Amino acid sequence: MERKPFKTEPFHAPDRGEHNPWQRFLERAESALSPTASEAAADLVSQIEAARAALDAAESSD
Amino acid sequence: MSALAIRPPPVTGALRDKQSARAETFIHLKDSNIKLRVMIYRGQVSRLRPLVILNSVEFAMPPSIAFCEQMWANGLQVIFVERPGFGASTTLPKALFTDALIAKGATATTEAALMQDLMRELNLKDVILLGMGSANPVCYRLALLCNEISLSLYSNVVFNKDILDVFRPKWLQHMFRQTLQSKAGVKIASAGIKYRLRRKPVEFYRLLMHQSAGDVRYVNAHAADFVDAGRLFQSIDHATMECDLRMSLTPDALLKDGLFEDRNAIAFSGLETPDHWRAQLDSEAERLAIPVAYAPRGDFLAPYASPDFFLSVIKDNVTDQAVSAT
Repeated sequence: MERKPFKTEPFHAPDRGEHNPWQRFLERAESALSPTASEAAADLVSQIEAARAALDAAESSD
Repeated sequence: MSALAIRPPPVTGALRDKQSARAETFIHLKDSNIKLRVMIYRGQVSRLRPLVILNSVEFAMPPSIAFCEQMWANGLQVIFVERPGFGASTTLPKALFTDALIAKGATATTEAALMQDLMRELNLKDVILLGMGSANPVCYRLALLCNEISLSLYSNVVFNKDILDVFRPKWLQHMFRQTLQSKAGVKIASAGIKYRLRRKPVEFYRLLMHQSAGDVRYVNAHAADFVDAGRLFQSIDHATMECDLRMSLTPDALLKDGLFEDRNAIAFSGLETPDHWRAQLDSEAERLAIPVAYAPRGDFLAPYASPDFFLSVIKDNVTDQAVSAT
């Protein structure tokens, strides 16, 4: 059987850290909201926290 | 021909035309592999005030060149963003498409956070935001998140209304009901719409929008855009479609009484919108403390079908002189 040529490209592990940028967007959004005290802002913070927890869980199960 | 052999033809026309003033570009968000396809009218961010438009599920195309030119002549630069999961923009992570996260609004809020970063990346200031149809749950979140948005217009917005009865023809209404019942329902409905859009895209849009002469006139005048929209629709995955429809057609807990009281926001609709829809919109708008502007023509596409009126609403609701008269 013919052997495949040795790969010279750098190895990438695309799955690890895939969610990090999304975490950053959410973190920035959350910090922009924190100083405000409205009920809508509190609702958004709660939604952001739920999304971040789901991304954390997905990242650790990859 | 087997089902596997069916492939959507490549996108052509306006989106592919690099010479066009509506040529698209990819914006790669800093330190990530996330990209969004954006149409910046005339190619580069200018000194004009940005009019940022987010697409609806059924029509993920920028407005016509005539509309963009009219906005330009009045001091507004159209920047159309193809949302995540539509066409070539990166999709949201799969982990965010659970029933619980969609119902909580967390999926839409993540998209809004992404859009906030895009606006930062493009250095957009003093933005006028226009949400089209199913983009609105993302848009009113974005307006709450982003201080650079000075006026938001929510076109054809649903706002917790019981509006499924409004959709005609009946088979379309049935398809939308299916999307709310189960994931299998979403797949069936999505396959049905994609099939119709592959065969006769312009006819599909004429039928969808037949209750508004203004919308139909716009479809007929820009038929190539609707052919492209039909092609783009083929690439929408079930999760994105399900999330968009559920956020629009089921109650959103963020929409509490008086939400827009201290916001510079307008619900934008058309006088050609069915009476039932208008009655529901008026009632919800009062509860949420948001004024409603009814354009003389249009329904789904009211801002595009009534550009003069759309401009007059903007001019009445912005405080500085950036939006000039023609």
